[in-house]
Amino acid sequence: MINEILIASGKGGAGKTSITGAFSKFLGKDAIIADYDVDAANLSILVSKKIVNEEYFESGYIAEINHSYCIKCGKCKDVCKFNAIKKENDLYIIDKYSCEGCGLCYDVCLPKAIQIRTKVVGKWYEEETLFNSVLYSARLDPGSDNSGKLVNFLKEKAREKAEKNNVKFIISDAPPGIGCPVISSISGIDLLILVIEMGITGINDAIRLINVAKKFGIKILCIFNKAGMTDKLSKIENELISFLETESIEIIGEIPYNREFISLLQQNKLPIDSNDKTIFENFDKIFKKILDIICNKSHYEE
Amino acid sequence: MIISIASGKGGTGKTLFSVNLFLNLEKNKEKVLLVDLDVEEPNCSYLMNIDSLNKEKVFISFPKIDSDKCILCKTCSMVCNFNAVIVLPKSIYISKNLCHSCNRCKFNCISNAITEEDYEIGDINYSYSNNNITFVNGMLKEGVIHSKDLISKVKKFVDDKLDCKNDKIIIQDCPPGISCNMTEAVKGSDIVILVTEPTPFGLHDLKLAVETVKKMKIEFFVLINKAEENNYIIEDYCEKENIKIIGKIPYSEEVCSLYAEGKSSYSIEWYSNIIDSISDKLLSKKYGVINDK
Repeated sequence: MINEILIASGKGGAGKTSITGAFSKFLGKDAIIADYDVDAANLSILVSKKIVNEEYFESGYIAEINHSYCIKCGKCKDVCKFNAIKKENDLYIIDKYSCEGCGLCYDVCLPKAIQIRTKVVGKWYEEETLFNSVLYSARLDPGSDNSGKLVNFLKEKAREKAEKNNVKFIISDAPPGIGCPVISSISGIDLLILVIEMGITGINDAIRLINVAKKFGIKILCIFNKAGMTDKLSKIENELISFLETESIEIIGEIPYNREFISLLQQNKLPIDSNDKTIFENFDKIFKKILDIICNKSHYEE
Repeated sequence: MIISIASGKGGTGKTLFSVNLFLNLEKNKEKVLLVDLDVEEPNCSYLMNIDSLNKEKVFISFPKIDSDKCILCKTCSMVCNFNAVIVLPKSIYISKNLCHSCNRCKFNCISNAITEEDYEIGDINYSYSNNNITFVNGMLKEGVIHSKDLISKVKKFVDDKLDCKNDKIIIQDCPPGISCNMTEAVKGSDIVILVTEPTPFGLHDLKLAVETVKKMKIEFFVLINKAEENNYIIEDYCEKENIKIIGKIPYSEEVCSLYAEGKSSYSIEWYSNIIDSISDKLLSKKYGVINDK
């Protein structure tokens, strides 16, 4: 049975990718890795050895006007719900950042000067990791609105590989936010690790994500990250802890704010690569706790 | 003048900078409006002292099928390019998560069986200062995926509410990334400021954001936030690509701590001096534009 563990935060920059990278090193060959932040995929910087496969990803449609047939009646512009057709220098032009490929312009075009064609929205990659495993990631083209589909595609690929290689876990790095790609990321997972950046904005963003994730009924655990940036938040922290308790969300660890993590990152290194043993021990404890919980309290041994 | 604050990477400091720029321009008696377009996780309001927020619910419409008129010809399903029209044995179901509200199904329906129904996607919150709107945000309803639609509605709201746009400076705090949410927020701007941090992630994502803004043909600058001594990875990249750096804000533990607490750091002198120099450059652009006319 394959278990997918998603690492998410709501807030950008909370530490999802660094923690996912550390977890993937901890699990080595026992986890297939996926980076669902297809807008700005960074996990490969930390864990990738080399790309073994890459392919274009096609999804959705876009309209194209053939100006030789266009009679400039303007009906396409009138009917477009997305204001994606503009008149520039006497020509009707499609704004590709607004066109959603619905085809309504095609329906109203008498001379059939408009074509609706499939769209390449990015590329996906299969990469060999530094930890004897496989990473699936993608790079979305600017302005694309099909990130949810691309996330689903990567999820399927990770699942197929985990089944093929008889691997127990999929560890995935979520995008920031609570929208379409995040919801696609949450779909079908077994456990959500919520990384909360311990500040006012990080806490509020995490609560919004909890409210979304709740609707899926999946088990959530949380990690307090960048703890101790300020000592003036005790009231909000206490409110957060009460909220987590009412939601049955267990706090499985706390990672203190440490500027060393930034210098490690500058060298493409993971937080657990620090010379400070206590840092490694803290992460080790957190990861073992996650495995305990997901394996229903049966111990994980190296 | 519309200034969008964007980035590739999340957490580089867009919101903090947007708020500080707003405070600076307001202090200098400029007519300025801050619009938080990061509708999934809008954070500007946590860093500001806002007296009271007015709220307006936002709806979009979806096609609704009248089962009495529907003859189950399935044309709607055939013309839907989003696979949002699902044909069941005795009825048609429209998936709101897949539907893009283009109304192509309605246009092609031969039995006039399709009308529209409203669907709530979130709120627009706004506040006034001296009878002028000075702050607007969009907040996506939890569980709804239509971020881009809400961003578009917030921008339209701002457009409708402003009497005279030419003398106002609109600062837009944009969502991270480079997907349709970011491009929807950024399009139509006069200037984009890409906020980055000097890390491998920051540089990697900055390149993606630069590619995006160049394709959109909007003038842009880079702001290096959390800058470190002897770390020039961003400067080196900008020099190579001929990209202008509008400012550099050094990393500061004090600023981090105040931010975690919900404070903007504007009261710190060295910090507000840097914001001052950035806003000077932006104002010279603004008045340059007016003078040209």
